[in-house]
Amino acid sequence: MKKILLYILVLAAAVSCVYPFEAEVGGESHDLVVEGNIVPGTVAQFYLRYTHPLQSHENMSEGADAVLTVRDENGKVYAARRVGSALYEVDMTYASPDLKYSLNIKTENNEYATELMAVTKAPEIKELSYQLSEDNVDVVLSLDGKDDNRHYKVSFLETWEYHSDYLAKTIFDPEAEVIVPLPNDYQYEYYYCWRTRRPNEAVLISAAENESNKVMRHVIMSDSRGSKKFSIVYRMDVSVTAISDGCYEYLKNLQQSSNVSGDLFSPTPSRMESNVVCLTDPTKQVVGYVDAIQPTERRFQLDCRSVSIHKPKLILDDYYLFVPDTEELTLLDYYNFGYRPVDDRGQMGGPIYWAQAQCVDCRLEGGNKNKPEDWPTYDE
Amino acid sequence: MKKVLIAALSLLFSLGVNGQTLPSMAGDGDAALFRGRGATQYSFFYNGTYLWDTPGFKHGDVFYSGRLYKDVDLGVNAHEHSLVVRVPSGQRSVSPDTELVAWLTMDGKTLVNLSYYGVEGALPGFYEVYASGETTTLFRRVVKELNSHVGNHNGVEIGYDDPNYRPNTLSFFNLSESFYLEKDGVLIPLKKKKDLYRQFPDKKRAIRRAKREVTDYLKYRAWLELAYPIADGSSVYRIPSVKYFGHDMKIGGAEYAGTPGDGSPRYEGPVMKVLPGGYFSDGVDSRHSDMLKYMQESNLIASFRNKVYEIGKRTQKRLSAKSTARVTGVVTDVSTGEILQGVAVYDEKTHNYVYTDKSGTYAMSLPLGENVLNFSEMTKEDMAIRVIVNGDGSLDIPMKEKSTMLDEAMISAESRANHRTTKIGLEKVDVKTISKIPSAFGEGDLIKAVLTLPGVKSTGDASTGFNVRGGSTDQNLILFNENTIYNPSHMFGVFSAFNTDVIDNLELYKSSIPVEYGGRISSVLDVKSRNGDPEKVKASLGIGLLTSHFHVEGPIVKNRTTFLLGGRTTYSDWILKNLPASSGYANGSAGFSDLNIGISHKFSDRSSIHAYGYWSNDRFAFSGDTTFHYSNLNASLKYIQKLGDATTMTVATGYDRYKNQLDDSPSVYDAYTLSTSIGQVFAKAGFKTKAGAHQLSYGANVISYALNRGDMVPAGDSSLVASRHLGVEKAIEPSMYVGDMWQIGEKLALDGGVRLSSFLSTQPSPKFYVHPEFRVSGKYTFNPNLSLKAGLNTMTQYIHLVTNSSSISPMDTWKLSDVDIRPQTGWQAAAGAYWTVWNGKVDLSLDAYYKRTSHYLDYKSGAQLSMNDHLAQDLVETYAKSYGVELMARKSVGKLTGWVSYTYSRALLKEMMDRGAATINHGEWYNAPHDKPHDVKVVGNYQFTHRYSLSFNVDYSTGRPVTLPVGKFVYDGGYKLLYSERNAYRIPDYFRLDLGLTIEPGHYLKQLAHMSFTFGCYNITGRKNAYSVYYSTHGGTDIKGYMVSVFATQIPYVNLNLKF
Repeated sequence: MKKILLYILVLAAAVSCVYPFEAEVGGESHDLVVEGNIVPGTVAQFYLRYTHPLQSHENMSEGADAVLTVRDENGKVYAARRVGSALYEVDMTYASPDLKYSLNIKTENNEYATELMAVTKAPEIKELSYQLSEDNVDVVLSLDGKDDNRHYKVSFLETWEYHSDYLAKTIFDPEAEVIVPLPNDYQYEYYYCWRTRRPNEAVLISAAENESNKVMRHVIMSDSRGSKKFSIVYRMDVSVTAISDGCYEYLKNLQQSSNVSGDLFSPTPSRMESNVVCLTDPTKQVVGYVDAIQPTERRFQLDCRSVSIHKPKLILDDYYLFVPDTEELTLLDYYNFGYRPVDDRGQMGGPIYWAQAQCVDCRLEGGNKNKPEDWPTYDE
Repeated sequence: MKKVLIAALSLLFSLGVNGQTLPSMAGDGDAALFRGRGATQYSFFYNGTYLWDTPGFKHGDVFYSGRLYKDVDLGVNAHEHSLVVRVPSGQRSVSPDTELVAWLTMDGKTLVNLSYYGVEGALPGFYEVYASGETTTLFRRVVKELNSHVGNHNGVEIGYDDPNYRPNTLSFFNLSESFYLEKDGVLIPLKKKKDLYRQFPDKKRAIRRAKREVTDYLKYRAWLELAYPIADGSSVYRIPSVKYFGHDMKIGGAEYAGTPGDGSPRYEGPVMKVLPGGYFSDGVDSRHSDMLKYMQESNLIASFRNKVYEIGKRTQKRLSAKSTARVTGVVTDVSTGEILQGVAVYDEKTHNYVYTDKSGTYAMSLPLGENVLNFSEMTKEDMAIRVIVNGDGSLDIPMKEKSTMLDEAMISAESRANHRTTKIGLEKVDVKTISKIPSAFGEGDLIKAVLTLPGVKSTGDASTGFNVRGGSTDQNLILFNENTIYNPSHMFGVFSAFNTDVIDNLELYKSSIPVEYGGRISSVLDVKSRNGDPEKVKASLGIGLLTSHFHVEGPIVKNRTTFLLGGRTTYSDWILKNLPASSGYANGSAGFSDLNIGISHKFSDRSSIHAYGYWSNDRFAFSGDTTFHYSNLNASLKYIQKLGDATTMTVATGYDRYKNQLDDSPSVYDAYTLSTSIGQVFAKAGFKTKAGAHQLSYGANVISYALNRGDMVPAGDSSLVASRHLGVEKAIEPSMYVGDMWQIGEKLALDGGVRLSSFLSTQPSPKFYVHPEFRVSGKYTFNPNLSLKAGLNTMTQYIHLVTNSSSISPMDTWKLSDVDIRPQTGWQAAAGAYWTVWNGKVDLSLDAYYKRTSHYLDYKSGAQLSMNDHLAQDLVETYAKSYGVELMARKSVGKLTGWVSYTYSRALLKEMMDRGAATINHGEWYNAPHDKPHDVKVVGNYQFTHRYSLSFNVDYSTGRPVTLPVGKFVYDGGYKLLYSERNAYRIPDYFRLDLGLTIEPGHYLKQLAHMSFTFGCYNITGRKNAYSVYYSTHGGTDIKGYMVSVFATQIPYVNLNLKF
């Protein structure tokens, strides 16, 4: 009886649910999307694309044809060159960070522009380290801002080295349909990989409510200690830019509107106005917010072997490894089904174990064999 | 002693085992009266009633088969000349053998079966004792003939016994009456005047002389009423009191004496002016059940109704036939002694009516002589009191709560209620109705009950607040015993903030807002709690799946000072902890508590004082680092004093505080506590004066606001968050008003008033606003069943809720008008037609309205609403317009009661300023968040027996507007969404069916506690109603749409209630 009562109570309290839903929305969507920032002292990159209807299947990465220029307050123009379908580069290597800049875009039918913007300079990164909890690894960032600008955008590139679950010492030759031992020089070919990842959203930080323009140990990345990110060496190249109030609000709204939680008190999503305006048709919507920035960059690297970070998931050999039953299927069948031999126990007289391909080939977990040039070397 | 014990056990058995109550009986009788054949049921539709002079059953006594049965529901079928008795369970009616009925009394009349007494010439059936003289008795006999020639077949009128007759054809009963004189055991028909002259030839001249003096008496009955006392000496017409006759009765009691030759009827019996003191306590064991009290009250009410009340001294000389007298009195609840406001008092002779004011007082002018006053109020039984007005005087009236045992009614407003007031869009709901409407988790919910009314909507399940006729949630003034409640919900809208244990009733003004209310644009929800029982201590305890509640009440000083205490709490934390981790709520916590207290003291019949207190606290956290709190605190003191006979003064003062708080700690360095609060001190004085056909209301209010816009403080020593205080806004809102309800003749009534509201913002910067507001409404009554109304209101609102979520969030902030934010102003025009059909069983209504508001606040895209020192810059002023039609059919009597309503309405907004491309929806009208054009509601209750009832609730509405993505693009390496114009799309339509079964307690006389159960299921079809629809890119990797459903399955519930 107690269990029944508990069931009813739990049922009653757990009835709030989320279900997949596709609304029937229509309409055209072909607004210019401007992504990028004016970065004096570098080759600034801009992406020009268009929006697409929600249910469209068009190639969203396709770029917009345009003439893009950056102009400083003295009237000097920096012309962009198109280096990809959507990518435009502006060489501003010798541009002064003390001037104001504006962006101008001319498409076939319209002209777009921003107002002149002062360059916001990012503070030095005071701390870039990690902290451990029971289950997670957090990469934390501390800033010590000096000027009045209190909003920051943090983007980063992660790189990590990892290995597959099993070291394969044999390989199956599908043409000859035989298992061949791997030479020692090649045994690690599919065992160690490197993987890079750039998150699809930057981290936005605001110190506007803080006593001073300080950010203390703000978590910019958090992941499980069981992740292979932290199995060997983990590296993060961090870029911090100070952004204007308008840019911060715009990007924050963009992130919130694109990742709505749907909870009871969520703000109604809405669309904000860009600081890029259409000069030829002021009612025309533009997407994106352009700032003039000077970022600060720093690298963080964690040798996970030297500290006890990684909590590898428990690999049960009995679960992952098996001996193929060749009475009904051939080894080639197993190969074509995505299985690979694991070790050379067969040479010792025992059966040869097989496992799923991703257990023995690290490339199948998203990595590659492109070891970064400055990657630390270690004794394998 | 042994015999007494056996009798007591028999009585207990008969009451307890069957779960039903038999009426008290004098002597050893049994239930033979109820074993007759089933009463005749008329399967066709008919107009009028087949019953003797009454539209329904009346309480009375009957002498049947040698036994006296008291307090039985009686009727006399004047079509068949048979007695009809309602079995106490209310399930059926029976017709006992008429030959065994000696006499009966009901509705102030005594009916005698003369053939039972062997009177010569008497027909089977009953004769009403109409008057008794020195040597004779005057009888009246009523015959109801069925007019059966109203059917129509091929153009030819047919009767209902024609084979071509079809049911549902309207027939009607024709009433005819005849008079008889009983003289020396012989019954003599009095068909013409000469028949009386023949019996009293020597009085013929005296009768004719009297007739010339009183020319009003034209009809034969009126002539008889005049002539008979003259003809047969000392006499009264109508025997007004219940008398018990034995077999050897002598018709005509000796104590009823009149004055011969006076020409006017006289009553010499006992006259009641007020309730006898200690009526209920005398001889009553306090351990007896409510049922016993119910029976006692019924006796009292029946007795009260059956008497004739004399007002003023009989020695007062009657001035003329047109002279009037001023009659005042106080209407109270017979059970609790509580004064009753809003009771309609209707004078049948002049067709004038007035309402009791806040002190329960009525005052009206009545013509001298006999009259009938009708007292009606939605939650009470109608009363018709026969009075003889000699001069100025008072008459206090006790009214009894409607009971399912009497009329099985369970609806919010009684039949014809709409015809009695000039107010348009006035809805009343009593606590019994609230408790029977099924709700999530089964607890009676005041706000959910309000949502079953036409024109009232919400944005979805578990949403706080409600929307009235296109208004926003902050445009409703929610009053609880004069106090303002800023957040009327617990647990983000799952439960209402009001404990139904202590609630008496609520009134919702959707359109015609009385002139004494102000400060909000859309509506006024006035919730009243009960006063404590003046006689004895009572208590109740309710246990539900998520909450428990209790209340205790009683006298501090008997019949003078009472108290009422109620509270609720929840144990939902335990539930959340048992949820699976995958639910996402396993680490959450949620809970609330509230407490009500009330103390009332009655100084005299003319003055009383009432103190109320309310406190509530909510907290919930669905993630580990964010906790919400909010609380209401209210206290008030109200003093009511009668000033003379015509004026009542009500003075009140109090304090309201609403506070919310957010504790957020994403890390120790970012932890903070954010809080806002609003406090207000108010004072109000109101007067109501009755002057002829006018009822004046006038008074003044003042509210002093102190609104803390926000405090943000770091939480913990490591937090980097700066302490920030946005400061306190202060303002005063004084207002004064005068209004008049003017009854112009029988058919037309007007209600008009002016309210001068003003607002002085004193901090942070001074700003003064003043707005006159006009309230006009009128009613034209074509006939008692058909009336039309129209009205116009203008309103002003100086305080605003700033929100960008579809439901009130705990962290939404209130904002006072200031230099930058102007008051909201608006007007509403409304008209309605009200038609009562099916013998008063069904009320049909049609209401239409059009409403416009200016300066309603909406937010700019991406607005920062919390801790914003320049909030006005993130807000936009909008025009709001709403219009709609509300259709409603309400059945108020019978086993099946309830209502069906359909509403078509729109609510639209439009930004007032042109901000270029940033203007919301390019400056065009757009849907308000609560715009739901089609709305169908069905609320019903089927009363199987007095113990078992089934309630159901059906709710359908168009889905509310939402803003959805219409485009997508790549940005920052991932997908992003491009949104439509604001509120351009809608979530799926809403539908819900709820069922609830209530089992009331059996009435065990000596049982200390009574237990009742409520079982039910909320959303019995398990429909996954969308609360919201949203899209996510999952961090830029994939675009998917989702629907959130708050109650996505059936929610069974069971509640146990104990009453002590």
